[in-house]
Amino acid sequence: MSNERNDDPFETGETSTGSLNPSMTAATTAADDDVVDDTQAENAIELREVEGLSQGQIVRRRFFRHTGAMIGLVVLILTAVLAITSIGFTLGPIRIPGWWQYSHTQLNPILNPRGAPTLTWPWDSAGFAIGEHPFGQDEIGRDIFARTMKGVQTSLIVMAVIGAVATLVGTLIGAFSGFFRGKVDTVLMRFTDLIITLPVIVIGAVLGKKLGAADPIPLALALGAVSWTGLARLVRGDFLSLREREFVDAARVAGASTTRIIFKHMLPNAIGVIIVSVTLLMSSAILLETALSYLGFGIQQPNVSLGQMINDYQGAFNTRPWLFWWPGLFIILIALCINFIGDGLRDAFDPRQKKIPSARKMARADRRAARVAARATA
Amino acid sequence: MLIFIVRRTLVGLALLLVASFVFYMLVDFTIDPLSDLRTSTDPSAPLQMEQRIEMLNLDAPPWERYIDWLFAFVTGDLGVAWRTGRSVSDLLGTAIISTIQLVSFATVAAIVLGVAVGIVSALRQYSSFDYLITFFAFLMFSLPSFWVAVLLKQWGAIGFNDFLVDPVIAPAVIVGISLVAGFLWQLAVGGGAKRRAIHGVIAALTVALVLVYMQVTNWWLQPRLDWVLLTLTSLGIAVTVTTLSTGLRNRRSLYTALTCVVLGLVLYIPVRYYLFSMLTPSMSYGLAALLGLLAIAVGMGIGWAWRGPDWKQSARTGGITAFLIAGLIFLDKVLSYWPAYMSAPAINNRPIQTIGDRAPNLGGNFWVQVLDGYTHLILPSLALMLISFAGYTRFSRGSMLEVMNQDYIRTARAKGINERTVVMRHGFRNSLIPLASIVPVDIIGLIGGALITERIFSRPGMGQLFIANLGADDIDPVMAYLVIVAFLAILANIVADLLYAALDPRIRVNA
Amino acid sequence: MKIRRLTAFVAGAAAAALAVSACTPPDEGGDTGTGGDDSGIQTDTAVTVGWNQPFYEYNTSSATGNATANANILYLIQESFNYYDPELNLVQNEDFGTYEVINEDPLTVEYTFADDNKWSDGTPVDAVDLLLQWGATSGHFNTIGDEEIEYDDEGNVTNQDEVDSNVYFNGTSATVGYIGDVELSEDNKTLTATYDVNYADWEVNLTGAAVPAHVVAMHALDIEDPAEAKQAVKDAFENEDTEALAAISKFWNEGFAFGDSLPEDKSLYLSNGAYELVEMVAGQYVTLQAREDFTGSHAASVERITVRYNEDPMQQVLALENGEIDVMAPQATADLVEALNGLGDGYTVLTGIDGTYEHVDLQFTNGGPFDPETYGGDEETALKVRQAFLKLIPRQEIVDKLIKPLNPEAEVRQSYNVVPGSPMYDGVVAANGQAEAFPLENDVAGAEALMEEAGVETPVDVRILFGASNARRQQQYAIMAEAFNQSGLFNLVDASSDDWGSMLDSATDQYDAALFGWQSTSTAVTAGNANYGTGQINNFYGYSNPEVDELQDQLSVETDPAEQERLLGEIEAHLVNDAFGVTIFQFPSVTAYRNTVTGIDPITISPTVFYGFWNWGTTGDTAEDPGEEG
Repeated sequence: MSNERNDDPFETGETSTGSLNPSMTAATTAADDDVVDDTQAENAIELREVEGLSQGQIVRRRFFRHTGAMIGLVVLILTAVLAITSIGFTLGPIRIPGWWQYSHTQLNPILNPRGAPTLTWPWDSAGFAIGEHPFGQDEIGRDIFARTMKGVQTSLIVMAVIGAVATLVGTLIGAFSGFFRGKVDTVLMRFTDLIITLPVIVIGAVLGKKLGAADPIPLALALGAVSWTGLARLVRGDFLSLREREFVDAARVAGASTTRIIFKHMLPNAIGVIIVSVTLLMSSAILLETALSYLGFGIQQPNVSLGQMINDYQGAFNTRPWLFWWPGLFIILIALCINFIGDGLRDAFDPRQKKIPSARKMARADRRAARVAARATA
Repeated sequence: MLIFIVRRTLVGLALLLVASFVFYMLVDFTIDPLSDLRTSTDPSAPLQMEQRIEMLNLDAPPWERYIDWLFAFVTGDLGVAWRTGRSVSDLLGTAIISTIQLVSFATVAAIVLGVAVGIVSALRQYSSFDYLITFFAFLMFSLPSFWVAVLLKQWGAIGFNDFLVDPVIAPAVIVGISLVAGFLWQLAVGGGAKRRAIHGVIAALTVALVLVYMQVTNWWLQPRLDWVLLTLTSLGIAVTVTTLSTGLRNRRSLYTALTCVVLGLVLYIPVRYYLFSMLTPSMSYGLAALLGLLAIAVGMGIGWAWRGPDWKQSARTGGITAFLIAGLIFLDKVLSYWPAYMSAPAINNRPIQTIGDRAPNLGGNFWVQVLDGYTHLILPSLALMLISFAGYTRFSRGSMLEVMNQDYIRTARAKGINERTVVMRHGFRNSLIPLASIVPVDIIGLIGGALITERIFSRPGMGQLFIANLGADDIDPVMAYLVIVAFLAILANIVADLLYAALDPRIRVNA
Repeated sequence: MKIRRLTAFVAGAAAAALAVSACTPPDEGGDTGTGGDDSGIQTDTAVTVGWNQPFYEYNTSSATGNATANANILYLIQESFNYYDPELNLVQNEDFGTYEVINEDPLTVEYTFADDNKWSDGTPVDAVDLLLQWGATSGHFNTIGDEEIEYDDEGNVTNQDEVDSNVYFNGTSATVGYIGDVELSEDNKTLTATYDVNYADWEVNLTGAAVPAHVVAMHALDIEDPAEAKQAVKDAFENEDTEALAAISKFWNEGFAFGDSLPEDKSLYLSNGAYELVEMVAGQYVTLQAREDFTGSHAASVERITVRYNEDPMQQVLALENGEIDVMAPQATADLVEALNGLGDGYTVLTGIDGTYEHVDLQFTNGGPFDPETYGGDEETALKVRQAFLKLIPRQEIVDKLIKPLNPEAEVRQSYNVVPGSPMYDGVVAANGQAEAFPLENDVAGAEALMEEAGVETPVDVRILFGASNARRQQQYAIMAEAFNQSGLFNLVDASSDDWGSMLDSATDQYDAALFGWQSTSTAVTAGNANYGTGQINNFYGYSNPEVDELQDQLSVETDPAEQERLLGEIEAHLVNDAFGVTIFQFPSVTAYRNTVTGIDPITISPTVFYGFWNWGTTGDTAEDPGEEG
């Protein structure tokens, strides 16, 4: 065993930094010129794919090629559009009505026994039909479709607010910490450690007990204010390595202010880490809200959120499944979409997890390289 | 190194102090200890309210209460849950054990399964298998955990228990399961169509054979590890442990492991039937742990006996193998009480349990109680595990992909080392290093997740304690919980740093 | 040694081992291969009841131990002078003792203990135990007021020495305090209690001993002999011996709270009833075993009863289906009842009512629509607005939509004081006129007429306070809002809050009507006064009617049930005429059990499902599996 240790990172003395600087891809490939053949082949494939493209284009291209992420994105947008247009929304004094005939608070006569859904599938004897209350009604006749849509709106808002707050706080703290280092870093990181000492759900439960019943926004703000820690650590790590890079020195020599260096030069380079981390954070935010509702410390009546709906109706699991399954389905759908989008973004931003080319592809690249070489010598 | 530890410990303690202050203020702000009295019809409610304000010192500013609490806390007095008059240390005693049991079970299972699946998924990147695993991992991420728990109860407990009433799997179902298993296996194997077909068929046949074997031997009602199963599993353990520990090329290690297997088989009858039966009245978890240590010692002794220049590695392999094989024998003894357990009136032939951590009115000796503990633990840890499992598959997949793109892997391949060695020795083992920094953090996450699991399965753990007392506006137990979890988190972070440094010399811990 | 040789050696050893062990598998019958004899598994008949709070203290009279979860267990292990039968009549329990009123004025009650009434350690249950109960809960012997005790923030007493030298029983009851003096007979068999203030509900005031007096004295005063200990308690109270009483009170307050398991000292959980505690796992369950030496008529028929804790009713349903509990009596919801009904033939589901009732009360003095001040002090106008409002509350619709699915026999409750099904209900309802004044179907025409007479501009905004997170209240509000808004007379405003409990009292200007439930724990006739008596603690609304107060004073000293019924009827008629509020429904209850258990017959008030445990039985056919049936 010992005689083969030299392959391991134990003695390589170098570590990859995980940076996403635009110049990086090219630099790496250039540096690798003199390594073994198959590496060259890999790089040849990679180079050919990204030839003449800016970093943004490369990322976009990779992202759009990621099937899972694209499906996720489309489904998520469709869901949001459905939720917003169907029952409309209220923005302060303005109320924009939707095309769905019922509101989520309105009491309607109960159509089917126990409020069963009127939605029938193509394989049902009655054939496909949407009917008056496709998702069914609760015991006092409220339309579950309208409520689910309202829940989707709330959950999306909660998710967005948590995401926004966490991004803002996490990025700023991480950026300052990593850029200034020293005392600032110590103070900020100790502060981060303070927040990180408890699982988010535990702090969430404590905060939720006070804030849960009210408007969802304060709860979301509070949850956002405690869920930025992971992001801050990542951004800090990125900034620590970025600040040692030449382009930062160049900016400094050119007389750029600190703010400008941080926000104009370094932040764009850390954007990949931020976006990926925030996406994943948002998908866990929606589940966090659900879990808090289950524990009784989340969003409560008369507000409607998906988590609160499945929690309120979990008793109906066996008896009136439509009260439980529809909101549950939307939670899973949203979380799933966001996870796939996050995965796609990670793949797009992070070239280190690039696809290992198949043997066949490499062989083909080899042949091509040989042909090119032959032609060059000829 | 020492300076690093001391410094981190001091910083950690300071952090804990500040955290406790912040938490105290937060919880104090959140709760209202008088809420129940406000709606009471009791004529003496105003009196009680006054009494309670006095008792809890609610007139004083919160920081004053914090100071009092803190002084009591550092002197080891965790306070009293005033609503029930019970001391918090009493409440915590069993709760901590219960939570640790649950969390450690879930962690181990999640790591082993998650890493295995994640690695395979990475090796077959962008294959159907990878997509399937990715999809399932994301699905796990997206499922509300209490939902999973309810489904588990419905199918894992009630469904499985119903099945046990007459445990016959229909031939069609056996065929179905085998086909699915074969299909998954061929996806995971990858490679050419022929190779996949062969592997798929073999896997399907194996699964079918195992199921038939279980059926024929009435395994469901009388589960046991007989000679066949014991030999097969022991050999499997020996090979796996050796591969992970030193690689199969290290012959002395392999022989050590195999010797352990042989010794295990030889000792099977005497230990399982005579020693354990003799010890039954005085058996306890402590004694079991001692026996486990003994097994490790014997295993290491075997490794040492095989000598060689790197006998320490053989000893390591031997210790782990012997421990696991001893565990198998222990398991077999526990399983031997299965029929008795099933027919106990308290169980009534429905062994998989959905609430609590033990069955009332069961009675029984040590082995029965161990068995009872497991039947209560299985569903909660499964529910808790699933979420974390998904995380580990994603993480180890990413980690493996990163490692496989490293230069030293290219070098290894270039040297002509066969792919299995490259993957197992250079890829797999290095991809595990970053796990050191994830596991402690994940455990903290699991403690958070246990809030929900414990509640659904009504296990009397710390999460349950926290939720119940937060709901009851009882600050002392809540604070005890928060401080303990914060302490664990800080500890976990220090351990993570140290582990990382120990495993990866590229990272230096500077004082 | 060469590796190859070693391999050969190992292989040989393996073969030998296999050969040796294969031929000597020990006799499975004697061992445990088939589960055999040494497993030590319990085989008694047992019934497991699911409950939503765990048991934690033996002394149910102390400040900390006063909880239903404890009371249920104590019901199984202690007898008392009386109990409620299924019709909610109080029945004397002569196995325990007898009592009678020997003087009407001042009210004097004589309690006589049965001769063979004994604690499970053989010491008699007698008047000394009752003396301690009175001495402790009356508060007469406390030499230090609650306000003189200083606490730090986790409830540790800081002036402990001072408290220890004083007498302080922490669980005091104002009504036991009405008993000014007690007298014990020489043989400790009878206790005569004399009331300072006559009290209508004397029968449920002092019903037994929460804790054995001799155990308290043995621990508090370090006495070995039970008889001596009893005497010490008696002496302490008779001589008002502060030192002894201080020690007794301290032990009484704290000595019976349990930790994670039953204490080593068995005297801390003595029984005088059918069962005794044998096992307790904190936060999970307690197990009680039938006492073989119990001679009373309510003797146990099932060998073990386990009460298992799970706060989530749906999880209890799963546990019931999975055989982990046999009986459950959760808070009823429609889905729960349906899920229970869906379990199939192996189970029985009983629906009924429990002790809590839902009602709407109106604010009289907050400057809102129901306050005469709003109309310049015009009482009549405010009364008409109130009457119109109450006429519109769709009580029948609420019951039909929300309660009937759970309890097909549910009816609108028509009395402010009396539990439906209790002996006085019909009489009081006939007298109070609630049904006529506020018809079940909302009386829009009547309300319109009243509003017209009142000459108030409609629609009137009415803010309704209720628990924001309570789904059923939310639904009631939705039904009410629909009905009111249709009438065009009132416009309901949702003032719900999770803080509704404290807002009732502290934020009277934030709501005009409150929708919530009150719980009755007995059939006591005087309890309602707290809600509508002038200045009473639960009268958050500023309601005041001197005639009601006057009648209430009469009622509280009236001990004749017929007269009590008449007075209650009159009081309630005033409440109806003043449009104080309306009652809506009794909370539904549900009890479900496996058919392997027999004799379950829950009653409306505490101890609900545990009532009649002496009739319980198991069919014993444990092999029958309900999973197949369901």
